[in-house]
Amino acid sequence: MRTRQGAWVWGLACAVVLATGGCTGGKSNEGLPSVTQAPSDPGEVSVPSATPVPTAATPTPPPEMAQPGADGAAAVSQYFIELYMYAVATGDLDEWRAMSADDCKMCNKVIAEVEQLVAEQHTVTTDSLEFPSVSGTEIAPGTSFSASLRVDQGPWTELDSSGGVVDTGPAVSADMYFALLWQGDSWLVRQVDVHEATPQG
Amino acid sequence: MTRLSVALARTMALVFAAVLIATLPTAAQAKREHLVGALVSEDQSAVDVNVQVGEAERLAHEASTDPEASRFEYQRAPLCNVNSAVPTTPLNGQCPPASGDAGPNDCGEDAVVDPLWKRERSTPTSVDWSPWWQVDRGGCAADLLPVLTAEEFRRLPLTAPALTMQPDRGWVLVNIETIVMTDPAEQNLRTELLGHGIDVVATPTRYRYDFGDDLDPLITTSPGHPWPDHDTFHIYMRPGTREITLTTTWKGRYRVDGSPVWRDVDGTAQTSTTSAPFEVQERRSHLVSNLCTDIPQPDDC
Repeated sequence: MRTRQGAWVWGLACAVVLATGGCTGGKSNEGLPSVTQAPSDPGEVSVPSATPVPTAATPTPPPEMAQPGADGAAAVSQYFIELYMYAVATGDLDEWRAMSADDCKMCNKVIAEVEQLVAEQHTVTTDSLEFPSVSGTEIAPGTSFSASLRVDQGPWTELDSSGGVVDTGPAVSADMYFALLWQGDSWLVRQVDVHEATPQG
Repeated sequence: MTRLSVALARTMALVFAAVLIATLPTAAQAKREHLVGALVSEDQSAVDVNVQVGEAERLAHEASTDPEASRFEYQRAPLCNVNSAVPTTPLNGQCPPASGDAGPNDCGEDAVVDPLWKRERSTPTSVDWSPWWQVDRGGCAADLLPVLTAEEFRRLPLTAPALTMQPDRGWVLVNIETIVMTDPAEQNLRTELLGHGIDVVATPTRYRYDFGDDLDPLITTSPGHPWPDHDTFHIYMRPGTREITLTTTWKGRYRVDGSPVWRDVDGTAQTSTTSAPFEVQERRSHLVSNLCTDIPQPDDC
């Protein structure tokens, strides 16, 4: 018989696993910032008294981003969405701000969302993030580029500072269209349009 | 069960119900979206930016005298309505049967600007043109016209609206309402930007009155009304010489010649009006021997 306490412990453990990318099956985690948990003794399934706040590794800029070009633009678009996942999982907006134009509406929407999460000491994670199609196009040689991106994002979980599940949301697919500028040594995201898409396959 | 335990059970049930109600989401607490779902919108800012860049590139190419430029061609043309990974256009031959959800841009009453396509060849004289590939997604005519910035809007000669006082006789009384109001009329202006004529309409949206004393200014969206329907006034607490300054905030919309679309200026302008100096006076009532309307006026009036 599962006791009430046992049910609570099971739920808490599942919340931790959710935060680390488990409790759901199957989908690839490639491209998603990895979420780690505080180490525990090997061979022992521990239930911490206070669930650690999930942390995530900073996404690494792909080498294609080092040069202006259609490939670079495509890489920027994917990296930018990975940065978004990292920002909501950690509250760290430094790189996001550095790449965002001041008047970029979508970028500023993300900044507002993350700042609110930080104020509440909440984080948000998803168990999967995939990019079925990514492409870039040169508009003005060497300076202005567009990128088109389809993103399939798995269900999300909002956690409080003790790791408790505050809210969850469903999977979503979206088509994104980027206006990008190569500034000589770095990329600037000028605007991003995000429209809901029907999931592929 | 004793009466005490019944009362205790009822109290606990009430507390539990109250906690339950407090933790249930209410209609006012709308569920927050996160991640990609929170970003979905109808916004077309990236499309707008890219069509502006694309059009500038097309025009620069058209004006270029560099022989190397003739290795490329630009053209605006529709997008075939197909669900293929690589978009195509009738410039590349007849479109396949329609199978996608692509259509012309939704521009309302404005003219549609087709997507921009580009092709290249190996030398300026060869005939081995590549297929056309898509450069931008097109847009609407208004996207390609100049934008009236907030700075340009602020440089326009907006006339500061009149500041009217009640009473308006050079002096007012302490502890009595001094009424202020202004004219909320829009202003129509005409200007020019990058060779395009532009109609501008400025509309007052906010009024700030500084009354020249130590009290807080009055900030309102109401232009005010005369007594007895007045809603914008100030009560001076001490006598002295004062001036009232009205700062009006204006929003703007504009229409560039060649487009029927009105667009909002992204920012506001301000004008300022200051009244003539006036006296705030303190008057005390006292009994007089005769009517003060008598002629000649009695000395004690």
